[in-house]
Amino acid sequence: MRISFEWLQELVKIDIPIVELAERLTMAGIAVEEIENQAAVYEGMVTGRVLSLEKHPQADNLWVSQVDAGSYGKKQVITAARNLTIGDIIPLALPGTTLPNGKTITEADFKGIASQGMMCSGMELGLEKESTGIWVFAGSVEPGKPVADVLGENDRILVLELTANRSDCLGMMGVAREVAAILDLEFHGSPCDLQEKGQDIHGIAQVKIQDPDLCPRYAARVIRGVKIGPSPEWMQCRLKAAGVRPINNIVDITNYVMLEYNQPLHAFDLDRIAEQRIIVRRAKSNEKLVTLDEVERNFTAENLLIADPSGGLCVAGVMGGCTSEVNDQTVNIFLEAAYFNPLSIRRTAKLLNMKTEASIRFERGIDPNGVVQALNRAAYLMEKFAAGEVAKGYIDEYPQLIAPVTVSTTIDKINGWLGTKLTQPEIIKLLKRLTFEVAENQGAIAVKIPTYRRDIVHMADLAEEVARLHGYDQIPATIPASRQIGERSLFQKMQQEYRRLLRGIGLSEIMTYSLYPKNAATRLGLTEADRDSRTVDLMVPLSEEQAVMRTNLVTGILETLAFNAKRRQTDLAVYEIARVYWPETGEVLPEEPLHLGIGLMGRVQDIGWNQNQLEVDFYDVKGILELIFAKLRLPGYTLQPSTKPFLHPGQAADIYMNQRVIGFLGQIHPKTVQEFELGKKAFIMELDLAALEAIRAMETIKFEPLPKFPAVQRDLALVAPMGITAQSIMERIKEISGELVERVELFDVYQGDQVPQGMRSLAFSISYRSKEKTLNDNEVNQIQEQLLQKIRSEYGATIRE
Amino acid sequence: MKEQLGKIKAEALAEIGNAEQSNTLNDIRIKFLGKKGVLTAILRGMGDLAPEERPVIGEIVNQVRQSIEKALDDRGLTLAAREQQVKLAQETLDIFLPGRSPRMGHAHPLQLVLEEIEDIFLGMGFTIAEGPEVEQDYYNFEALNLPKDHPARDMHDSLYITPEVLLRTHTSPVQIRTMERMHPNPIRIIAPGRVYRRDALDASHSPMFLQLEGLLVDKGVTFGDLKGVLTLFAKKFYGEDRQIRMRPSFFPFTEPSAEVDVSCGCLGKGCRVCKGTGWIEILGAGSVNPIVLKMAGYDPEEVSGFAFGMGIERIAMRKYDINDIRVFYENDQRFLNQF
Repeated sequence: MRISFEWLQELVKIDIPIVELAERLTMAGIAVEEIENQAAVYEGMVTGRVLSLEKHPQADNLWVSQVDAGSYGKKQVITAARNLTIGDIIPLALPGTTLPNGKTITEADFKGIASQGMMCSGMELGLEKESTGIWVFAGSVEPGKPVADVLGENDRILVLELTANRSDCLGMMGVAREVAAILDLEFHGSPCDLQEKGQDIHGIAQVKIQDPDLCPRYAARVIRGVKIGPSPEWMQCRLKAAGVRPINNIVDITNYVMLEYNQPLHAFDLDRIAEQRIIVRRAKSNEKLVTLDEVERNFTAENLLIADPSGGLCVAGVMGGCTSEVNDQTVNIFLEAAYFNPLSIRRTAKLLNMKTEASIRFERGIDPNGVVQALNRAAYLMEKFAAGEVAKGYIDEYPQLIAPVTVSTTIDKINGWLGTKLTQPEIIKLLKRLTFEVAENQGAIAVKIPTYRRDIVHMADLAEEVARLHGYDQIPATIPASRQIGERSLFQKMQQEYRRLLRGIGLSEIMTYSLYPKNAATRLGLTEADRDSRTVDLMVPLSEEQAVMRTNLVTGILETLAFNAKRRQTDLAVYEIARVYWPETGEVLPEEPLHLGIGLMGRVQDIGWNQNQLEVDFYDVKGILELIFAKLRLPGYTLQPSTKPFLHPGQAADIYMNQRVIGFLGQIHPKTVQEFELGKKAFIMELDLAALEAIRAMETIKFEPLPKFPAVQRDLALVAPMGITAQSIMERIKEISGELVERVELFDVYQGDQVPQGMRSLAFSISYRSKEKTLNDNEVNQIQEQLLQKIRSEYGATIRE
Repeated sequence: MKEQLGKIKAEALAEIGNAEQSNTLNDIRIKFLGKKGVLTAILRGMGDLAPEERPVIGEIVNQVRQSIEKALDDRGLTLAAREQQVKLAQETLDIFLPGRSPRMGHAHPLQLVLEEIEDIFLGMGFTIAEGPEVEQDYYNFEALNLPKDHPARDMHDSLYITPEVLLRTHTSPVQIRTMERMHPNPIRIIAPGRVYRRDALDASHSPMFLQLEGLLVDKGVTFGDLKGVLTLFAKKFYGEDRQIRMRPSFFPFTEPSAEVDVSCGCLGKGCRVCKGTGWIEILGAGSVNPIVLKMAGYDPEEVSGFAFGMGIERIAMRKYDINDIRVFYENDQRFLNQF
């Protein structure tokens, strides 16, 4: 809302500077976004009288002109314009002036003759889109006057950023009332000294409300014999200040009163209303109407129309129609002031995508009991500025009165809500400043809320009014005592542990969008049968790239690797902890398990003159999985070769826990590497943290006493068939030898010429230790011998000498 | 015999004195003191001596042996020290070459800011609550006093999944879910998380961003308590010398409502960050609207509360002087490595 300061001062006498007013308004809830100074644009421009025009001796197309700039003296100005005659009053930009288009005027030399300023065109003043010459002021204007004054552009405008609850401030009266309340001042209304003449309106026109649920009130007046012409200059100035384009006196007056009273009005050409009968009714299904913007629109029974017996005239509260529009030939006006159902207007405006000054006001809710005042005010202005004759009486169809509500509460409740210690008289005084009627009875108050403040319905709303007028800064800050310890839940602590662990081993955290393109799953080679292809879809996607909620973290990680790879950053180790969204729950809402995703690419270590040049491989990503399970003391998992289409078929595993898949890891398939333009091998892992939360052992660390007796080391090199996992052999070694085996480690894997086809050599280091005594060689040899025999027979393995 | 021993001693000490390497000393030890050594040979020859001479000569042999051993040990220490010196000198490195740094992982700046804020509120007795991002219209809007067609819904251009399900536009639905679960008991929670709006991605808008919500419900909670808690937060997060300022505002779910500003680091002198006003807007807050309390199962005559919500990206952008919101979700390594 744009508030003319000049206009505002007419309604309430403001005794503080505008900057302070803006600050006070902002701190009371009417936020002033900025103060616009209209004159600032014309700074440095004055009127000048053309005294002479002579051809430039060196240039055919230039004129040398002597200009009288009043108190600014005589100026010599060079111009190329051909529309000037001696005696014209023109706008002169003095040196140092910056024009609205950003150009700064300096004293310049034109082929040997100095120019002490520039004559401006209407375009340069921002008054017209195109100019053919210099702007010449009409009428008698003194030279040396500021151009802003001559144009009437010397107002200052408060640009308000109104919150949705304060629709009353969409009108000057509302703002003035608010200013008066905040500054504790009086405010005056506008004059409305109406002279009714001639026939009574009821004999001229009729109104019937067919759908009172959508139109609770409809009032009208008839003004006859109007002369269409321009509205007075002061009105045009105020309209322009508010951002409304002046059109003619009738339209301008309806707009002016809308801005003044926050009551949209509509002027019909009375003679173009069939039978002079207005019918307020729902549109028929598929009813058509050409609106003022010359678009034919389709309506349904959701929309309210203002019609006459022959058809629709106007989209109620939103936009007028062409058939009954006021034009130059209009003589008699049917002036409408109504109160429409806000919801219905909102739906209609949204449906038709028509947001107008009127619809904005109706949908936020205007004062149903202010309708007639605005109607009378507009009629008065039409009588005064359009030579109209206001017919006697007015129509006021108001089937169901909307009465002011009364909010009852106590002084203690208001103080208790706010944390203040205001007295009863203090609170009552503040509420009365808002023009609320207050009845009091021993600490209890009953406050009658005017219908222009329908945002106030209960005690807390009153408390807010008290708080903002009293000043939020006056409310003491206190700290409420806590009765609980603030701490993270077990799962939240686990998340912190994951982060700490991963950062500690060189992975950086990333955050990527939860929204994926629709084809994210197919890009990964997943089929429609795959769970990851079933997504939570936006009804209206933001874009192709952001259309569905993700079902895995893979695409986000690969995009991150690709983004960096394109910038020649190919040594990457990243993780993301974020939710994925699985729709098939049988519930209203999808499942949103928290996942961990890891992506590795390039060298293990940062580049350096002395760093090893190893590139990451499958076992780096697997090692991270092992570390996570060990460090978070999670129970065991198993791996199965994975057939995920975006993973290398020979270097991919699904991670199982209790027969359930909780993740996967592996090398990215070369096809996928190509698809995402990664440019090199990459490795990925994804783990369902929510699944791990459920089974995390709650045990604390139990200290294991340090051994008292020495350990004996033995190596065991086996040649075993390829299909047998090292893991299974290691587990079997522990089973066979029981407690005496302290540790088994795989220290070498070999396949090649030295071992038969289909076999590989696995070398284990076994550490034997007894808790009771020092083991001697014989004992260890015996154990190892038993072990060997079993492994040999069970796995078909041989000993490698 | 005596003379012979004297000669042996002199010869041995001379050889020891001339030895330049530790292993030469070992040879000398073997030559003189070894099983087949010179001194051992003498001892073996003692049988031929007269019985009264034996102890005398034996004594001398022992003395010679001790002298040689001592000389060997002394020389050994000297040589070892010298050899170590040489070895150390050979091991001299260019200490000015760069070291071998282990690769460090970096925290995401949004996560850093989030955890810093979480820790401040944990310190004030808040716990962390979570809720779904794909949310029912009821929790996202209706239960927050934003019925269908409410004009304030315009502020939230939403991403719908079905007419009744949408991506939450703020973390406030977690308030409602927590109240429904907890009533009539007191509540003190913060709720961080991802939220979504229909905004095209540009330098200052992102269709997805992070918010952190706070809710406190208890008997006798006042608007002044909200002011106290937020002042404490601002001083902890921005610095002890900072103040907060509350401006009346409007949210359908709080009454009274406020926009909360923190005083700028320029201390009111005016700078680019505060655009000369001396204040920076950091969050929205207010006392929980009685309508909201009631819908969630509380009796507004018995309890009251306050809520606040802040955007994590904006706070992080100011904290780290980042001027483009997009960098948070691009994850450029050069960006991440700075945190």
